[in-house]
Amino acid sequence: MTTAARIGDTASWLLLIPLSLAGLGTSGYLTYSRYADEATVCAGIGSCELVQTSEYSAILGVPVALMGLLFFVGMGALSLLRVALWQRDIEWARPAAFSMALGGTAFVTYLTYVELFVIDAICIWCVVTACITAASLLAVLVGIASAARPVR
Amino acid sequence: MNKRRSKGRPHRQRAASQKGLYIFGALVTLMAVGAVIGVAIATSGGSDSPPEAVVVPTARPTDVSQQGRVLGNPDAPVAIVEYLDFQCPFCQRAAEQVMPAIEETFIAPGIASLEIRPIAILGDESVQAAAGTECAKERGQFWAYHDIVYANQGSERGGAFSDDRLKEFAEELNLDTGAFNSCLDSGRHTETVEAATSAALADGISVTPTVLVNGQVVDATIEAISAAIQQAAGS
Repeated sequence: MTTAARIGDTASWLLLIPLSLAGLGTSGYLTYSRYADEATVCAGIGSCELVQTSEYSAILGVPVALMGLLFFVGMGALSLLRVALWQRDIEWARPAAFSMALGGTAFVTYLTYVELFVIDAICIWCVVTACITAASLLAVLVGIASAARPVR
Repeated sequence: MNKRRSKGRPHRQRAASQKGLYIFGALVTLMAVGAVIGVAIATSGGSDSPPEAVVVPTARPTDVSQQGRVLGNPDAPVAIVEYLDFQCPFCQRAAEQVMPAIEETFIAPGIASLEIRPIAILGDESVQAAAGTECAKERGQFWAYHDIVYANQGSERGGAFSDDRLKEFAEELNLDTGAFNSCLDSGRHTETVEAATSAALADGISVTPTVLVNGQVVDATIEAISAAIQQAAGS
């Protein structure tokens, strides 16, 4: 890998850390309000309570907010590991991040569709979480593109 | 070990290996996500059918006076106001697990009064349920109707508060069903509810339940409301 490619690759991993932290914040809050049986504060935007208490907010009893939390824990841990071991080539790290981000983005696309066209209500924290997930996929793709530059 | 192995392999071979990992990982993940979405659609796609029989609420804890949407003496030194949405499960919990204790301890002895302000932030069934309570209020039965609505709450927009269901509640309460049905069908309280909702939102009420004790917002818990009442009554 060239120096430029390594910088691009490392930058994409570094970007994933604050994205994961932000995602942990939003999904963590949604998970907390779900388990604490508290109304979700929506900052006056959308109808978080409707979305959070709808039948689509859990799958087989597992809240989708908790799934989001676990996703960002995984993505954050992988990013931290990759940055900590930046001098080593870890072949599976980028494909793993790509798979996670792709799956996550596919899932939040489905959830956003449900909000817009089935429940007909938007939860601002869910939208922010979806945007962070999509941004994570973008960051991973930037890393892949950087690493794929031909060696001169 | 990984590093040594990687360094020892030709670049083209490593690239092919990584490409395989990307394709395999993406396929496995998308299949897993597809399965999860499939389960989600299969288990929550349709609206829940409300139960056939109307659930009769338990008796109110006291026989304190009721005037419209106000429970207890309207001139009591402490005024509790609660904004609620009839489809909101947290409001149901407050109505069934919090307010009865407040009623016994503070409202029945005349220390406080409770005024309910129904608003509708969870959709059309919230509007209709609130309109139903207004129709029941015209017959002096706001509180009985309030209780039966909560006793029969279902999932949002699942038909628990369809017009037919709301009429069944009135029948169960032995209200004048002709007058009640006519009131509900006329839609004359739809505007009342929508205006109340707009006014509440303009006042910064965006979460239900929102409980105010002498104008101060407090958590909808027995402890928080009791403490606020004691403080307001003592001052």
